[in-house]
Parts: sequence; structure tokens; C-alpha cells
Amino acid sequence: MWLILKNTAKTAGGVFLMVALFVTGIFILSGISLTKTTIIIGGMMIFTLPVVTIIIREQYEEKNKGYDFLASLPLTRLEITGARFVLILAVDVLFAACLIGFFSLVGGDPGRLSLSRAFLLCCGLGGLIMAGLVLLGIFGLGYTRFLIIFLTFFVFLGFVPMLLLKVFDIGPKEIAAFVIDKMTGFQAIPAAAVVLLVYAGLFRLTACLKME
Amino acid sequence: MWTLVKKFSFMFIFYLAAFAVLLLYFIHDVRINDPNPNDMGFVYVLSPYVIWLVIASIWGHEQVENKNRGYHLLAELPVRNISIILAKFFWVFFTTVIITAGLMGVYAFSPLKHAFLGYAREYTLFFGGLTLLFGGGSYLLIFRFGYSLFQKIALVFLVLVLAGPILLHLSVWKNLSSEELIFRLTRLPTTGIVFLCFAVFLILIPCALRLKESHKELSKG
Amino acid sequence: METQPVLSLQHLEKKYREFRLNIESLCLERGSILGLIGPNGAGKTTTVKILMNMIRRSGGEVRVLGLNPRKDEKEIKQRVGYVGEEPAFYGDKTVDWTGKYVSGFFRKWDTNRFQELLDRFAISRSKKIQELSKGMKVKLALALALSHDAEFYILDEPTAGLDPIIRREVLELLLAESREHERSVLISSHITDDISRLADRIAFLVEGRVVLSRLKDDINADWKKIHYKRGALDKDTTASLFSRKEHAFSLSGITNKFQELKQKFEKPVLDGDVKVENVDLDDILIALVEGEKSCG
Repeated sequence: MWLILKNTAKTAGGVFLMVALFVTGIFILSGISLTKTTIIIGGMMIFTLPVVTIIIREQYEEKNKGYDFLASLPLTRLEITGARFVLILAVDVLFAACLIGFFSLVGGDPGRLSLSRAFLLCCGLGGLIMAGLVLLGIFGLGYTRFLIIFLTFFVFLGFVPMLLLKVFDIGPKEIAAFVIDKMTGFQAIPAAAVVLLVYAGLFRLTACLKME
Repeated sequence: MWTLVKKFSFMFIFYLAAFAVLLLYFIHDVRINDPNPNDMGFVYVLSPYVIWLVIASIWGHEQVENKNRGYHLLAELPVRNISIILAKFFWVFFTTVIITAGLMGVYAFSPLKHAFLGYAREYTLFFGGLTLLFGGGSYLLIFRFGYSLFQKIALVFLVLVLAGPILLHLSVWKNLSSEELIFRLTRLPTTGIVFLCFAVFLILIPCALRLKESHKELSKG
Repeated sequence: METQPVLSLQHLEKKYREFRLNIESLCLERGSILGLIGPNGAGKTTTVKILMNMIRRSGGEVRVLGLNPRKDEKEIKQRVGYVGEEPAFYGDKTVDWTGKYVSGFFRKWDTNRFQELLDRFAISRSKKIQELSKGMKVKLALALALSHDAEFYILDEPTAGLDPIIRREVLELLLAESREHERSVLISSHITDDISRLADRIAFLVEGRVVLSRLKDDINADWKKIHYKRGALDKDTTASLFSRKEHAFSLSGITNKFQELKQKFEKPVLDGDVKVENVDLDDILIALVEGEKSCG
């Protein structure tokens, strides 16, 4: 499993670096301070980094029939899927830790800092679940079918905020107030434990999926 | 060429159908649920979406081609490269036109006041023109550097589509309403821009042909 | 001395929507070479993939080196040298990188052997995989399979993309592995010439079923092509022949019971009314496929 991890680490490292540069750029543009922009973009990047890493890697595997190659080696399906899940977990945790560390270094209003920490953690955990679902989709449906569904999802995703605004009659201010309210009382350890449990469940489910 | 147009139709029709469902919802919503003649919020969000929709259709279509080694098969058939390119560009153009026209239709049916309709139309046409550029550019990218790189760039584009507006709203457009943003954009010579985009789109066709012929091994997936 | 067969299949079943693989029984002894012959779509690759646990079986019992592929997948892959129908590698990596990467997964990796095989197959170490031809990729897959001291080789159409010179070389290499190191080989192919040259035992797979599985020598002894004049053979014998054909001055057919009917043929052969010929595996395969079709 470690050999697969080592082999895929390059892809993850590349995406990590790109996203880190993007976030750093936003930080510099915001005058290296904790603003709404930096916090939201940081959170968004933590959320999307695992999924972007997976899609780039899986596209590479698909192009090279990488799973056929790995299946011919003395590896079990559990190890192959395990390597993916471990890599994504590592990327997510590392990026979240870096960003939280960076935010702490930048400092600022303690209230805002703790809120931003909770928000980043929340995005990291959300990204992990999303990544688990993406891996389940790819292993279960195959990359092409998954990609079509994924793109359809994103075609609709842009309309979700509009639907929220129209159906529930809530605006960006209400959403922000709701997020701030939830973040203030955010219990990091229980939330992380639950997410890790769900992530492990998704891993088990992916590893058990029918082959061929 | 028409056989190829038919062959390439699936993904584009699929996303057009998905979008049609959303448009039906919006027609219902803006006419019955919330008939506000001064609210251009839905125009502001819906119109730029044409870019992402066409990129998503190209992405899905090329993924299926790549998986089934479609370019390999086409290379073995008595089909000229220009027919392949024309068929692909046809779908970019057709999808863009249909979505743009569909959006303008929705706006025409909406309770928006007459003065706002012109702005909505111009705003939509502007993004339609940009879509032609992005669509044609995508094929140039695919034929020059292969599908893998296109996919990576499309992924970055997707992230920017999601992050971009938030970034702009939080930093540059802090206190601007969607109506004001539309008015600002339509102050540009939009008709000229749309014609220019269309002209560039047409120029991209021979460029794509040239690239496809000089980088055969890449386009074969 | 271990007497357990290296491969044993009992009532193996795999169901697809429009195809069903159903192998009643198939065995391979240590040090033997089993050739699996069948037309396209007969189930050869499915069978091979089930052995490697790349596909899950619907039912039946499978043992590879005495182990269950579902439970002992890793151990089986450690001890088996596998070459798939279309060898897959990372296209942007070099041959050298691939060798080093693969070596990390095997307990008994022999770098010298791998290098020696690369030289023998004239594969450049610095070449990227995407620059290799299909035949070169097959040769690389063979080099990898032969470099970790496997006890059993499972090869799915390994010679399909190779030129005749390399094909012969590969076959000789496999034959030497089997004879000198008592390695077992399962080779699936529709190039019957290769199987005929290599295998001790041959199994014919038609429409998902093993319709014939015997030692090559027994097949050669029992399966013969008979050319006969009209009326030279009795009705029962004529009816038992496969692939019957009418020619300008004679008739012909294939028998699978030559040893049993030998006495019947003696007199007409002497009279010149019947001529007996050896039959090649292609003819047997065609006869079996026709037989299956006529049985519905």
C-alpha cells in the first residue's frame, strides 16, 4: 500500500501546491489579514482540494488502465482503495492544518480567529465526506459514468443557492448568520469522530464493491 | 458531416435537457411564485451559466470519446478531419444558441419591466459570445495538448466558476446589487463584442483543423 | 513431494446477462502446461481473471496453488506470474521505473533476471512505456512475470502481438521454465500452433463450457481426419464423424475415436478406400464449435 501511496503522492503534491499558491495569492491581495474573503476561499479550497486531487489522479489511472496494472500485482482491492482513502485523508488533514496554522500566525481578532478555525475544520470534514462519496462513485460506476453524473451535479449546483433563496426565502445574510451561529458552538472532536467514522464506512463500502 | 453531428449529439442533448428542466422551473418561479418586475437577480446568476454548461458538455463528450477511443475509430473511417471539427463546433454553436435563446425566452416571459429586458438580453448575449470563445478554445486545447490537459484546465475552471463570483462579491463588488452589475457590464459595446467572439469562433475552426492534423497522436486519445 | 494440483476448478460458474461460463472440472498438475483454446468470446479471459480474483465468480470452487483466490489473492499473486490480454502500465513512466516499482511488491524479485530478460527481448530501459509497441509491452509483461520466481504462470493470449521470432523465443523460454524448474503454465490462446507446440494438456472452451480436456498425446492419437470413398464406411461410423464434407471424388470427416475404431479402418485403408491424416488443433476447434452449434 505504501508503494501506491508513494506513487500517487506526486499528483497530490502538485494539486496541493497549486491550491496553496492560489490561497496565498488571495491572502496577499487581502493585505495578509483575516478577512471574509480569505476565510471563505480557504474553506472552499479545503473542501475542493480532495475532490480535485481524486479527479486528476483517477483520470490518469483511467488513461493508463492503472487499476488493471495494479490488479496484476500482489495487492488486494482493500489495499488499492485503502491507499486512495489514506492519501485523501492525509492531503485534507495536512492542508487544513497548514491553513489553520497560517491563520493563527496571521492572528487578528480572537473571536474571528476561532470562528475561522471552526469554519475551516468544518469545510475539511465536509470535503472528506465529499471525497469519500466521489471515490465510491468512481469505484462503483467507473470513471466515465461518474464524471457525467458529477458534471450534471455541478450543472445543478449553481442553482442550489437560488433555490434556497426562492424556496426558503433566505438571503446571503441569513445564511451567514446561520453559519456563524453553528460555528460558534461547533464541537470539533465529536464532529471529526463522526466524519471519520462515515469516511471509514465509505472506504469499506468502496472496497467491497463488485469488481469487473 | 451530419452523421457525425448525430453521433456526437448525446452529451450535448443530455445537458441541454438538464438545463431545460431548470428553465421550466424558473419560468414557473418568476411568473407565478415571485413575480417581481424589479428583480434581476435570476438574470445575473443564470446567464453566465451558459459557459459552464457548454464546457461541461464538451468535457462529458470528450470523456466518452476518450474512453471508447472514438478518435481512433474515426481515423479508420472514411471521414475527413474537417467534418469531425465542423461537427464538434456545430454542437458548441448549437448548444450556445439554444441556451442563450432559451434564457432570453425565459426573460421575455418573466414579469421584468420592459426597460430591464433590454439589459437582460444584452447581458445574456455577452455571455453567449464568451461561450463560443471558450468552447472553440477548448477544442483547440484538446487537439493541441490532448484531452488530459483539457480536463485539468476544465477542473481549474470549475473551481474558479465556483470561487470567482464569491471572490469578486467579497472584494470588488462589495456594495453593488445584481442590477447595478448588469447595467455596468451592458455599458460595454456588447453587440460588437458578440460579433467579434463569433468571428473568432469561425477563425478557430481552421486553427483546430491545423492542430488536429499536426498533432494526430494526441487527438487519438 | 507436493502432489496437490496447481489449479483446480470445480463447477465454476460466472453469469453475465448474455453469457454464462460453466466449467464442470479442470485440473492442472505441477510442472505441466495447460493450453486453453477457444474462439473469441468463449470465456478464456473470464476464466483467467477469476483465477487472479480480478473478477468474482458466481459459484463453484477454485483453487490456485491450493489457495482460494478470494481469500488468498495476495499470496496467489506473489506466487503466480501473470500476463494479461492487454498488458497495462503507466504510459509516461520508463521501463526502468516500471521494473523498480513492480519489484517493490514481490518477495522474491530477481533484478538480474529482469535485466537479463530486458536484454534478451531488446527492450530499452530508458524508453517510456507509451513509446513501446504492443508487442514490446507484451515482452515487458513477460519479463516482469518471469522475474519473481513464480511457481505458476498464467498467460492470457501472451503471443498475440508478437512477431514469429520472438513468439518462438517466448515459447521456448516458457518450455524451459516448465521443464527445468518444474513450473506450471496455463496459457490461453486462439493461436493453436503455440498451444500445440507448448502444452501437455489441452482444454477446449466453447461457449463457456470445457467441451474437451485431455492430454495432447491422447488428442493426437484419437482425433484423425478420415478421407473415404462413398460406401467405404458403415452408417454408424459415418454418422459419428465431425465436419463431414463432400469432395469431387471422396468424402471426409473428423473422428474423435480413432483408437476405438482402428480395427474398422484397417481393411479399407489397405484397400485404398480410406486415408487417415493427423488433424491440427484448428480443425478440432472448428469441429467442436460446429458440434456445439448443432446441439443447440
